[in-house]
Amino acid sequence: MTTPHPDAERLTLAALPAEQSDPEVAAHLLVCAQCRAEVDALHRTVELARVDGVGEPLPIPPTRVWQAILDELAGDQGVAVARPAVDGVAPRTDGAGAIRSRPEPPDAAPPVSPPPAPVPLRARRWSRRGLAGVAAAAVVGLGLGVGVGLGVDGSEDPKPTPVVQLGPVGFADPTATGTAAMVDHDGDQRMVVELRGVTNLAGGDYLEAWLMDSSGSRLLPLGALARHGEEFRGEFTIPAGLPTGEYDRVDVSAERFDGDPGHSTVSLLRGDLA
Amino acid sequence: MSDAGKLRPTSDSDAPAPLEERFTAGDPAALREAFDRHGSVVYAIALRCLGAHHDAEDVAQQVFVRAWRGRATFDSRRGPLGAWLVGITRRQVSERLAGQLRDLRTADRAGHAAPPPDPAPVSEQVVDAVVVADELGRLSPQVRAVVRLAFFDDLTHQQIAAVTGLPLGTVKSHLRRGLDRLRRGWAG
Repeated sequence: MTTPHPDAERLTLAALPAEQSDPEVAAHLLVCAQCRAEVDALHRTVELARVDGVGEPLPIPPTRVWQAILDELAGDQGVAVARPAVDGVAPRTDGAGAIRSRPEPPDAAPPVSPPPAPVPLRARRWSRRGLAGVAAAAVVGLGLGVGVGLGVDGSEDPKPTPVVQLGPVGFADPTATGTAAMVDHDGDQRMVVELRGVTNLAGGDYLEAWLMDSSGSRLLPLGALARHGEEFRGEFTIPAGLPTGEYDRVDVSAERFDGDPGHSTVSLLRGDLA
Repeated sequence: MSDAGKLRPTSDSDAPAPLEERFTAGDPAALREAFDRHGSVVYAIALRCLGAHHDAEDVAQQVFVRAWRGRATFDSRRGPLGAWLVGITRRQVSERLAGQLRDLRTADRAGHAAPPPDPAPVSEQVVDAVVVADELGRLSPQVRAVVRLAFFDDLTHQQIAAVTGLPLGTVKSHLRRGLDRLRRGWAG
């Protein structure tokens, strides 16, 4: 770098629409990627501000939106909602509390559904029978650690060992987290998929687990996940004969009861098995 | 930038951290506060993407209902509450758009409608522009006035100084400070 960086104020001026070009800054930008990136980002900021021309304040959502939120939450277990005190106008955040949680006795149900007890495999109900015949499991070929702790806590159910953390896909549901784990169940290899923190599933939609290859072009539907509040769980038999080395990605998608057996393309979470 | 630190605004209207803590803890007042603080961003994104007030209101409602029900999963280490709400908004909007598209296609198959448009993804630019507009409204009045003169009236910093009577150095530092804050709104 032959020239010192211009100070921040001069770089700011370089990004503004009406300012005359400063030859020294312009020359520096030709040779300094760091400052150029800075000015580009500032310039982009100006453009974003000018998208609607005049910088008018953002619209305020009408009061009825807040009212509708209250109405919808009023049905939630463990949350009591007081109607706004005056005239349909909700109280502000002065402690009057538009929504009143019950006090917190130790035994009371928390506002959000409690962590699930072991759940029945209702998910199988929705699995695609047509594909159920594909036979059992190249599990080792999937690269899964089949860490099975049978009866760890004395129960009959095998305890799944989380092997794959599922991560959010884009902004589909930034709050969701999950795991996919293999369990051995009477000699069958099963995949247990569990999700938490799903907050962005439209009413009536459900979640479905898939195996896919890394390009997403080959898909194997595993089945739907059973819902328990914001937690979801499904346990699926891994078909035998599954081509080893492909189908090495677990995907969970939001699906609709629309009669379309294909993937909705709305993926919430994914994790790679290998 | 070696001097970026000293230019970082220290006061302005940074949301107090406790809101996020209280929200996660289930303090009902925090939901109202979050709605007051972030409702217009959520609503504006929905409105710009969907066009219809009715749809935008529905989306805004769903975003806050879902956020509240899922508040236990909000993790402030992964980003601020506003960004989390924007993420939920994007998803709600894209679902709504996908639903509209499905409806159009159904209608099309029935022979009643023009071919449906491609599904419009929730545009990064729309979201970023709303966030910047929101931050602009949160600048201190004097900084905001100076920034507006530069952005929307195409004045140079000398002209702004003349119009406002502010010293040239103050105008430049307001511009830097304001623009830096807006930039951090969308670029993190």
